[in-house]
Amino acid sequence: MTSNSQVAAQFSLRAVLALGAACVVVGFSLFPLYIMITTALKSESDIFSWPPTWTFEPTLQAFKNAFLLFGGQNVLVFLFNSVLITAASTVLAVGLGSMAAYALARFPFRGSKHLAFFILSTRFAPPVAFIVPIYLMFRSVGLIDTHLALILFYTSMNLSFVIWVLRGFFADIPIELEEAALVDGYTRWQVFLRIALPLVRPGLAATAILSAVFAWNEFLLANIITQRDAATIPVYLSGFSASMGIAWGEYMAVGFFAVAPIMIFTLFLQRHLVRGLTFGAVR
Amino acid sequence: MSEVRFSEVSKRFGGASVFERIDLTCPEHKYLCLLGPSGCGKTTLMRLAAGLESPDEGDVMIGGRRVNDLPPADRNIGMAFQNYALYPMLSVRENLTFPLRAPVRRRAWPESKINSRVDDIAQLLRIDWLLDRPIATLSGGQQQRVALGRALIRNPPVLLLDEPITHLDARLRYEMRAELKTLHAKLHTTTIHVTHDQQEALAVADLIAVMNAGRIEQVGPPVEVYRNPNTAFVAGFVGDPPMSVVRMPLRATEGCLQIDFGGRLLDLPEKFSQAFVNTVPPALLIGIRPSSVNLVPSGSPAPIPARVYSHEMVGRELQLMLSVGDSLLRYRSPDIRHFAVGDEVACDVNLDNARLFDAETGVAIII
Repeated sequence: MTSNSQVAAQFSLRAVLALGAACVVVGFSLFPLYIMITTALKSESDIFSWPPTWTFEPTLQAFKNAFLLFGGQNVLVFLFNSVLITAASTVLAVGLGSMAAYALARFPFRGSKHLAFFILSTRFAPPVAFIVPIYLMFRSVGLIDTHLALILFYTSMNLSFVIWVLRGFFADIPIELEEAALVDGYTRWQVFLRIALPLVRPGLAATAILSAVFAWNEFLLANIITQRDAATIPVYLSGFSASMGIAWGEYMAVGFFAVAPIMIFTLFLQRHLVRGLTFGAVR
Repeated sequence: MSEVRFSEVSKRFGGASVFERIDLTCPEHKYLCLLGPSGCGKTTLMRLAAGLESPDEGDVMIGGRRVNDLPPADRNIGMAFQNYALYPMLSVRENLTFPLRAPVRRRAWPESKINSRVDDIAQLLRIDWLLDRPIATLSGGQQQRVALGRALIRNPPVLLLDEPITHLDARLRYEMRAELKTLHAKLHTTTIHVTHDQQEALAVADLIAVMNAGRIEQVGPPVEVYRNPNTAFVAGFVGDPPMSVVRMPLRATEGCLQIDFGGRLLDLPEKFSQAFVNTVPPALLIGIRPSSVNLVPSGSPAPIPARVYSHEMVGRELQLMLSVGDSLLRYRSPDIRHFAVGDEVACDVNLDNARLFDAETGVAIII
C-alpha cells in the first residue's frame, strides 16, 4: 500500500532530480557565455592570472577598446553590416520562400514533386566547392565587398531550406479553411496572406531563426568576398588572431556583440514555435 | 433569381470519371438534398456550384447566368463545410465578420452595418453569448452554428451545405434538422444540402436528388422518393429501414405469374401482370417493405423458411434481417421478442405493396 505521504515524497524526489538535471544542463550551456562576459569585463592581469580569479574588479576597458580604438575601426560598423545583411536575407528568404512553398503545396502540376526535390538538391553541394565560381561571378558584376553580394548569397542558400520546410507546413493546413475563405469572397492572394500565413506562423518562426543564424554566422564566403565595406562580425572576429597575439578582453567583448543579437532574436521568435495552432479548426 | 442548374455537367479527376452529363435543377427558394452513399459524387457536384471545382463539360448556371468561369468569391454563395472549417486563429465574432470584411465588400458593408448584422445572425442561431470566444473552445454543435452563421451572414441568395450536421451527436442532429428547416422557412434561401443520411434528407428537403455511382437515380419530393422509388438503388437506400431489394426468379405457370421465393412459389398480384403481357423476364428485383414481411407460426400453411441473420432492438420496435435462400429480408415489428442469430423462423411475404424493378437495369417497372 502506498500512503499519500509516500506518493508526495516520491513526487518531490522526482521533482528534485529533474530540477537538478535541468540545472546541470543549463549550467553547462551557459558557462561559455559566462566566461565570455566575465573575460570581457576583466582587466588584462585578471584574465591571465592562474588559478583563474572568480572575483575581480570589473572594467569596461575592453569594451571601450573594441568600440573606439581597437583595429582602428569601430565594431559598430561590422555589427551594422551583419544586422543589415542578416535581416535582409532572412526577410527575402522567408518571404519568397513562403510564396514558393505555398505554390508547391497548393498547385500541384506535372513534375512539381521533382521541382521540390530539385530545390532541395541545391543545398547538397558544400559551399566550399563553389566558392571560387561564386567569387568570379560576383567580381564580374562588380559585387565584391558589397552588402548585396552577401544578401543574395545567403538568400539563395536559405531559400531551398525555407521552401522545403514551409511546403510541409502549408500542406498540413486543412484545405477547407482556404476554400471557405475563397467562398467568403477573398482572392487567392488574400487567402494566402490572411489565412495561410497566420496558420504557418510556427514554420515562419523556425525558418526565420535558422535562416538568420546561418546568415549571421556564415564566415567562409564573407571572408573571401568582403574586405572592409561589407565585412560582417565573423570576419572582424577572425582578424583578432593577427599581429601581436590575441587581445582576449577585446575579443570577448566583440564576441558578446556577435552572440547577443542573434540570441535575442531567437528568444523573441521562440514563443511562436508552438505547434498545434490549427487545433480545433476542423473535425 | 437564384435557381441553381447543372446542365450536362461532367467531372473527371485524372482519368477517373466522377459523373457524366448530369442534369439537375434546384429551383429558386427550394431546399434540395443531394443524397447518396459516400463516393457517389454528390459533394463534387456541389463543389461545382461553389466554384471550388470546375466542370470538364457542361454548364453550371446560377440565377440563369453561366458561372463556369467565375471564381468562388464572385458567385455570391454561402457555404458551410462538413468539418466546419472555422478559422482557428479568429474569435467567433471575427469568423462571422470575415465574409463581410472581404476587400471586395468594403463599400457594401461599412463598420456600423457589420455590427448590427453580426448581432442579428448570432441571435438567429443563438450564439450571441459565444461571440468573443476563441473557436477551439466551442463544442461541435456550437461550431456548426458558427459555420452556418458565417455562410448566412451576407444573406447569400444560394446556400450550400456539405454534410452540415453529420458530425453532431444524434440528439443534436435531430434538433439541428428542425432548425435548418425553420431557418429555410424564414429565409427562403435556395439551398443545396449534401448528405448521406436518408432520414436527414427526408426530414429537411423540398426536393431530394438521390445519387449513386455518379448517376442521379431519382429527383423528387421526399414523399415521392420514399413511396415510389424509381430504381432498385433508391428502394434499398431510402427508408428506415429501407425496402429489401431481392432478386427472384419469375415463373409463368398456367397464365399466372409466380415468384420463386426460397423454394416457395408466391403468386404475383394481379395488378402487376399487365406489365408482363408481352415478355416474361427470367427474374425480377423486388422491393419489399419491412412491414410487408410477417412472421408466422411454423405450422401455418406453406410458410417461407427463413433464418435470423441479425437482430436489433431499436427502442420502438424490433428489427430483424432474415435470410431466405440467398437473399436477406428486413422485418420490423412493434412486438418485441427475443431472437438469437441462427434461429429458424417461418415468414410470409405480402407482395401487394411490393415494387418491381428490371433485374438488368434496376429501373422500376411502372404499372
